[in-house]
Amino acid sequence: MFEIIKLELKIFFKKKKNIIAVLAFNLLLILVTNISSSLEHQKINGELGNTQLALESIEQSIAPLNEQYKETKDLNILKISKSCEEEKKIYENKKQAIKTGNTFDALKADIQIDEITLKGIENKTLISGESKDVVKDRLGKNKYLLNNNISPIYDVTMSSYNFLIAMGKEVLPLFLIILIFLFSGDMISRDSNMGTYKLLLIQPISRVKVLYSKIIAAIAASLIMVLGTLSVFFIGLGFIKGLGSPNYPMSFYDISGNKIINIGIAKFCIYFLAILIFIIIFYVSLASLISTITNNSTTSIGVSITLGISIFILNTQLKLAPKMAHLNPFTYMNIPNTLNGSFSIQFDNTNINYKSCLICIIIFTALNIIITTLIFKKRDVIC
Amino acid sequence: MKILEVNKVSKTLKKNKILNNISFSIDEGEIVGFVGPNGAGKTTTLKVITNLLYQDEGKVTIAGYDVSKNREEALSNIGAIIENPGLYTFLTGRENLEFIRKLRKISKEKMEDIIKFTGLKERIDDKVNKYSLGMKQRLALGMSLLTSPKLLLLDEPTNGLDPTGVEELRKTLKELSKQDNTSIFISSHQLSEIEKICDRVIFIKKGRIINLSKNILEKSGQVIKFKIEKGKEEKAKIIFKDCDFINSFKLNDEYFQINIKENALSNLLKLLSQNGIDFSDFHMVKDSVENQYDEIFKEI
Repeated sequence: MFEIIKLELKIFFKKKKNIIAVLAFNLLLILVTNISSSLEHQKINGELGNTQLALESIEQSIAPLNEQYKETKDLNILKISKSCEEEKKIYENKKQAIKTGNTFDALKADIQIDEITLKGIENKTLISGESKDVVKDRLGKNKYLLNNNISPIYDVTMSSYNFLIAMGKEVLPLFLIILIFLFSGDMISRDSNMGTYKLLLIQPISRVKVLYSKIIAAIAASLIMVLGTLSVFFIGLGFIKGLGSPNYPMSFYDISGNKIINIGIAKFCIYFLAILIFIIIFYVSLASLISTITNNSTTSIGVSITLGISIFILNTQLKLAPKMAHLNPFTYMNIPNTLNGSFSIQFDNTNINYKSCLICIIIFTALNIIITTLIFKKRDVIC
Repeated sequence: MKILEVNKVSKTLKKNKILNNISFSIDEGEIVGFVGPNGAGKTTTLKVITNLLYQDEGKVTIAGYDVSKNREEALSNIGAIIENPGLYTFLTGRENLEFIRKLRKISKEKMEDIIKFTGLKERIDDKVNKYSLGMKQRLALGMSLLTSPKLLLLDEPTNGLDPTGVEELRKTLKELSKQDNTSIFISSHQLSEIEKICDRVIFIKKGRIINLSKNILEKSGQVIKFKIEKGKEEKAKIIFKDCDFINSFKLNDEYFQINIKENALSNLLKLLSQNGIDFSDFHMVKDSVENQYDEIFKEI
């Protein structure tokens, strides 16, 4: 069995299509990382612009307030004017902090602004575009960051940990389908094409062992390629942009309490990688089934990719049968959104969580392998 | 001892009955040809023997092991090339051999012997996709022989080989049979190639085994056709019947067609003259095996 696994791995790493697919995957990650980095700069500049606008708006309101106070001697107006002065100071500090890249001072300013906003919402002296809960949640998160000396990041910040989350949201859901089916969509049919199917099956080894050797090799190769590539980027970005704090708070759908809680980004990434491994195994099992049914490599790869993408789009983009979505393994392809509860909210289905994700994927993987085994064992080798 | 026994095997593929109750067996050290036109069921038979196809009925045993029930034990006794040489073309010849060597736990020395045997020593580290068809055939044969099989199954092994290659293959197979007592089962639609190396030939036509009861190669020799004077047919029949150098004879439209043993032509002529049987239009037909082949398959 070990010899067949070794041979299959050898074939895998010699196949041009696999090398091209991995290169394309790397290029895509480089592209997305660069785009994200430039978006991060834009976000910082945008933040600076917004702060400047807020500052100008406060400055513009202070002068009339002061004049009004001179005329009316109304203490309330004086109070408002003074609070505006305080806010002006905060925004000036924030502006300075953004300019100098002092993230903690900017964070302090944000906390102060949110405290004022929250107070205003609670006292009904302020009408805000944001709800009280959103402001409260952000405030809590920012205070946690400040107390734990964690530098705040944007969604597009390409520090190592955040890179994994960002790729899990933006690149992997669709590209992983293409990548894994390209890698393993022809694991059985390839032998029919090359004429080596008969060579393998006339050896005194059980057919099941031949099949499982192929599946194990395809899983190993896919894991090496996907996790290897992600690891290289993780380490590389760690050197260039830093790992990021492992305790950076991430929203996580806690099924025991049925609520969203915050967990550290490192822990979040461990959940993410564990589910990613299961998803890769699921894709390989599906590819093995399709590859066993068809006798032609091109057909099996084409059918696998088309089927995978179609189900993915029907399920996650068009959101067909949202109440049943938790029973479909393709629902969970966007792992971060499964973990943070976004999909649960989007589908209005609380069953979409990491636990049902694992159960669903394991059941479908087992089913794929059982059906593949039955077909492979009983099948006549015609070509 | 019987190394291969095929007993009442039938197989239907896509509603076509490809094999219809076929039975035959092969003894140790025997070289047996398996001849039939394209589509007769030769490859299907080989695939059933190697368990690539599952028979609908019947039983196949290799070295006493039932292929369906004891697949691994049965297949450990065979080496086979079915249809085309199944090789990993983007690997080198050595890597292909190495795969089988490690899979079947065979010594390195044996592999080196096989490399010598294939005559590919100079090219063994080249990728197989750079090999000619003949080289591929030799490598595939080497891979089949790496395990020192008791039974070697070859499906149309001469396909794509030049005359020198065919001659080399014949020599190799004869040597194998002699030295290692390997039984060899060769399918072909070219009878002329089979008859020179086989101890006997099994014919298959439309999924049925034909003329299995007679070992036609034992009766191989020459086929002579001639006309005899009218009225002497019955006398001739009685004489031919008792004659030991005549394998078989038949009378068709005044013509006797006689199958005689090799180098027995002078005996026949002597016999005819001694019994006062005049003949005319005396001519040799094709050699006996080919003649039988034509006889069997003329309807196709």
